Amino acid sequence: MIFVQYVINGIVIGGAYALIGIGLTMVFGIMRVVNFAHGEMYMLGAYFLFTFFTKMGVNFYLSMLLAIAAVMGVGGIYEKAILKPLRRRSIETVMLSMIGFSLFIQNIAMLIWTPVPESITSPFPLTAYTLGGLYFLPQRIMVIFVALFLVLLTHLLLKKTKIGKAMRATFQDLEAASLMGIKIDRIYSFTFVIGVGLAASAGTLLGPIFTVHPYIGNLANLKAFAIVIIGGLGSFTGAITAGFLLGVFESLGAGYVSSGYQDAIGFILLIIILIYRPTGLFGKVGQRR
Amino acid sequence: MHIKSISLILFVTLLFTGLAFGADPVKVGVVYPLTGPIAAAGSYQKAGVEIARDRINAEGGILGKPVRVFIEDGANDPAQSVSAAEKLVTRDKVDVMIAAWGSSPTLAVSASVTKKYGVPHVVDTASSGKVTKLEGKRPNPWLFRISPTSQMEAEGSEKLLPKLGFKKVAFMVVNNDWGRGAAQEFGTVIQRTGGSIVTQEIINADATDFLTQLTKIKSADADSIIVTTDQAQISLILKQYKSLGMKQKILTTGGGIVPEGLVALAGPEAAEGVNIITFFAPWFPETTKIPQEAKWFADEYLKRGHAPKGFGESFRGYDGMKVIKAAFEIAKTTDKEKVREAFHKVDTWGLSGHIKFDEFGQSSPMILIVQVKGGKPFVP
Repeated sequence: MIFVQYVINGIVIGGAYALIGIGLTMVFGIMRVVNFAHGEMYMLGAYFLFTFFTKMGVNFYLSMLLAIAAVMGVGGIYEKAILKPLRRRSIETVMLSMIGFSLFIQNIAMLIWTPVPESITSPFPLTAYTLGGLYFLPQRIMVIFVALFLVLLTHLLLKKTKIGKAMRATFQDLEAASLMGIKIDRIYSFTFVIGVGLAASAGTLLGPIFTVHPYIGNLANLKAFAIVIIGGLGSFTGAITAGFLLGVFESLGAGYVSSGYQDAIGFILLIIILIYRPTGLFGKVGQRR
Repeated sequence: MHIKSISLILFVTLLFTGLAFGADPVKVGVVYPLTGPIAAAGSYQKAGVEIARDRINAEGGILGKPVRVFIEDGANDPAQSVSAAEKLVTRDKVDVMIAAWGSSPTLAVSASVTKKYGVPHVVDTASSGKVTKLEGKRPNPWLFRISPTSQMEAEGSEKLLPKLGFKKVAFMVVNNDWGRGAAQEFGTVIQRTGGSIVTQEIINADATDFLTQLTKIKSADADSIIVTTDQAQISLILKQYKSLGMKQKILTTGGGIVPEGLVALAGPEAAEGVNIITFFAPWFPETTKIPQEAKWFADEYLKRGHAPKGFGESFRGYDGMKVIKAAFEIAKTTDKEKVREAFHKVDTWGLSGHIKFDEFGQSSPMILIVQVKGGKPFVP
């Protein structure tokens, strides 16, 4: 019974991991940009929710949408102002600018919200439902459903819409896509905004469960990179699978081995997978050009 | 032209304030974590230092000289704290230091800065026994600690623990010198009082999800949990503990935790009934020997717009400054060797109790247990 409880705990956290992971993998796959500020977008999502909902008293779901939109705005401005002019520059230049951006956002958050940790009041009851000796927390049930819904929505966006088709075309072959009349700049902006939006949505989902402070993005970044590498760089299915896998492994590891190794277990998983599948679970050999 | 005249006015004002006070200030160097996961704690303590500085200056300074505080960020990281402390000593030429929050950075600053350069070093937070006593010897003759060790905390609560019903105890401690040390010291005390240790869960400093550990404690049939980590993490543990419908008694160690903080971060429901070890109880100024000063400090802290959830840390910086003033006034000079000798003669009362150093440079502050009752502090 306790085993099942550990797995359930892992799946819930895994849902949020998957959400953080697909945003990062999308930006990397399509734009070839390693977004080091991904965790900071997660942090901003949580802080905007705190400001709109806890401070200003806007409706919870509306606050979530506003928070995600606000972060998308920040991401959009950054993309237009910094990433676009650096488009033809080397990968190191872009990487450095991303690291700078992440430090900038962290420090801005310290100025605006101070380093004092804050708590987002939760509109859900605290007490868990019990079913056959298993515990289900109301807030976390919401998290897993919203996460799955957003993953599905992103999937449909990529597979069923015209812009999704253009994004996949850009992912497969940049030059050919551009020759077919796809406006690469617009695809890039769109991808980046969606990617940071997904990170922000994970922030708004986990914010009320955890506390919010300017450094929560560090852990999110670490997990997101592990997920993207386990799943295979740029692989959407890979990120989802890896997200859940990491969540469940961490929970089982903490339960049966030692909780001191909870974070280490994720990286042991990463090393094992890299030994047997150097391109990750769903990565294709020779995908990088 | 405007800028010129403004800077001229500024310059003249500065000149006069300087003159009014006599030239050389007493320089206090402070290394706290101002960025990183525990930046909040550092910012609360910084507030305490500033309140003390302003009070001392308003009362005429130290030895008739104004006090100037140089605060550097050590991020609670040993390497960064050492370079911050080194900068304070070599560039700013500080007369005395308060550094560097956690046990690991404090040990680093002690070994490679204050001992090397011979600068009096006040420790106001770190609780690892190694800071003042290493293999039976005092590792740094320049270091004086006003915060209690984990052992002092455990022994200070020895009488109360069985009364509060801590028999089958589970530990949840943060994965560093402080957490592991606390588990060891409290474990010894629990066994001495006839209790047993059911399980020991070590958690990472940045972990946010504890359902698995709590599930394990719940199924291990513990009647109580002793938690050692910072306030934000304890709040998360409490929230998740409450949602699992757990009834185990809880004790938090290390100071730094206050009912206001738990109520604000975990909610009144989850904070209810938690036992907290604290070294300063601003709600009960009569627990100190200096009730008026304690009350004044608590009011001043709030008046400056600082969060009540920082009470558990803020007093440390204040007491640190207070002991520095006392030592300089005994030494009657800023000569470092004379000041070091003077620290041994200090006998004063801070917000956290009696400050008097033993031969290891360790002081014994008060150790109190308060309980959250109806969202308010209460002495059990």
